Amino acid sequence: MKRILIVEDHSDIRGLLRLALDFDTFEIHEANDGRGGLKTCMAVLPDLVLLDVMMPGELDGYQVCTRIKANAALQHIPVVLLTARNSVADLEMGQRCGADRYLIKPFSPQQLIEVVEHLLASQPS
Amino acid sequence: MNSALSEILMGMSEGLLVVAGDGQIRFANSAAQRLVGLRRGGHIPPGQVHRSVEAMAAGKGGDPALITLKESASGALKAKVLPGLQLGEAIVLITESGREALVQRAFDNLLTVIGSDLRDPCQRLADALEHGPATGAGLAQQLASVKEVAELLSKLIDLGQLWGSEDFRAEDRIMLDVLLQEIWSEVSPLAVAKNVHVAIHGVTPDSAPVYGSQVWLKRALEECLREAIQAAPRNAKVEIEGRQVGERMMLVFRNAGLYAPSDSRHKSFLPGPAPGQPGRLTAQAVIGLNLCKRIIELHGGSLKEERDFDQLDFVIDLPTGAPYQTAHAELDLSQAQRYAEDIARLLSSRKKQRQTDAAKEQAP
Repeated sequence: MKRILIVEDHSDIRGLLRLALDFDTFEIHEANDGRGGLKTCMAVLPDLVLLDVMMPGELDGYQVCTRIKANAALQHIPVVLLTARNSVADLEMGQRCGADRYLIKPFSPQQLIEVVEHLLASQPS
Repeated sequence: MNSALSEILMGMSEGLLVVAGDGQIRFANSAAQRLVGLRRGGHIPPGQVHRSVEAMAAGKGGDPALITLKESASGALKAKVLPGLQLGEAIVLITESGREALVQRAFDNLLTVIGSDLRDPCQRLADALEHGPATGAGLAQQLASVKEVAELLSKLIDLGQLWGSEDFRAEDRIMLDVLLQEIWSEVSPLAVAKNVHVAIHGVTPDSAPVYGSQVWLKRALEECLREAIQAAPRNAKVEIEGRQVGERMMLVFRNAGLYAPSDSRHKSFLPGPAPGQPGRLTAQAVIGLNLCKRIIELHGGSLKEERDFDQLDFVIDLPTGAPYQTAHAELDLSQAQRYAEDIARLLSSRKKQRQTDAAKEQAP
């Protein structure tokens, strides 16, 4: 079973993401801030990370993504940034920090599932 | 909480917290966040208010009593604990008493500033110009006076713009190390001229970003640094130290002379001695300090004084990682609502798909 890590500070949104992905029987792990997300990522070694950009705390989503991509043990894990920030500068920032996809809120569960399935399918087994 | 009710409570001028029996904050309106710095998800600190909340949530609270949180010459901050909308909850109302008197004093002070720091220099300049154009030192003095008036007017306009607003509606991603370097490059000529050394510690490219208005935050931090340098004696050292404390970044401006002596700073809302008399704060410093405070507050932070023996530090704390204002939460709420609808549709279509698949399997 593929493992997905959701890093999102709003518990309601986490719950909805979980609900959307539960249909496809993923193993879901959660963290509510950047620091916790990075820790869980290292412990769980997920197959994919869904990462909110703006989260109160020491690390925002861009910083978590940069650290994942700089870590030899984690850099292969696809990271999907979830954000309402949609300026060109924000998209470039997402690219610079190594994110694999950038999903702009509000997105539909169907879009989310498609992105997740596509990224998981393109991973070497 | 219903979104309409939440919006109504957010707009209240009094602070309002909805608190669970264990002290966890379930809702905090903008005024409460500004007055006491508490947010949803945080906890009421141990003390009288916590005990009252505990009792009220358990249905054991008596008549609501006013609890004084903070008292100063300018007024008091008081809390009243009321029963919640449901058992297990309490409501804490936070009010600023003496606010009207404070506003009146601030207005009186503003009139004094307009008279002595704006009208009088203009009048003196007009009188001087009547005697013909100045040269040399006289001209330089006149120019400095005009610049000072223009700078003060600019601060007053900025303060006026910010006073009535609740948030910036800006979500710039601000890296404090870059911002402080930008500020330093603009302020360094003043520091060099005064031979004041400035050192910045603990703010690195790895520090947490602040979300808000890059322009306004730069304005506030530049004001702080500029005033620190202005107030410092020659050869002094001004230190800016950054410390991440949980979800917030503390920026400490270490300099005993920042802004003005503390005894006169406490009277910043009172009409001070006449211009030129000892103990009178300059209008620039008072307006600048209030402008900084307002900008920091609008970012969900605070600007406080911290006394360490005879040293006086100014401590700015700012939330990091996400914007302070409620716009972000509202967006997430709309996202959540759309999600709920989409998921209901997805569930329904999958159910139909399963039924179709099952019917196909059963078919001969």
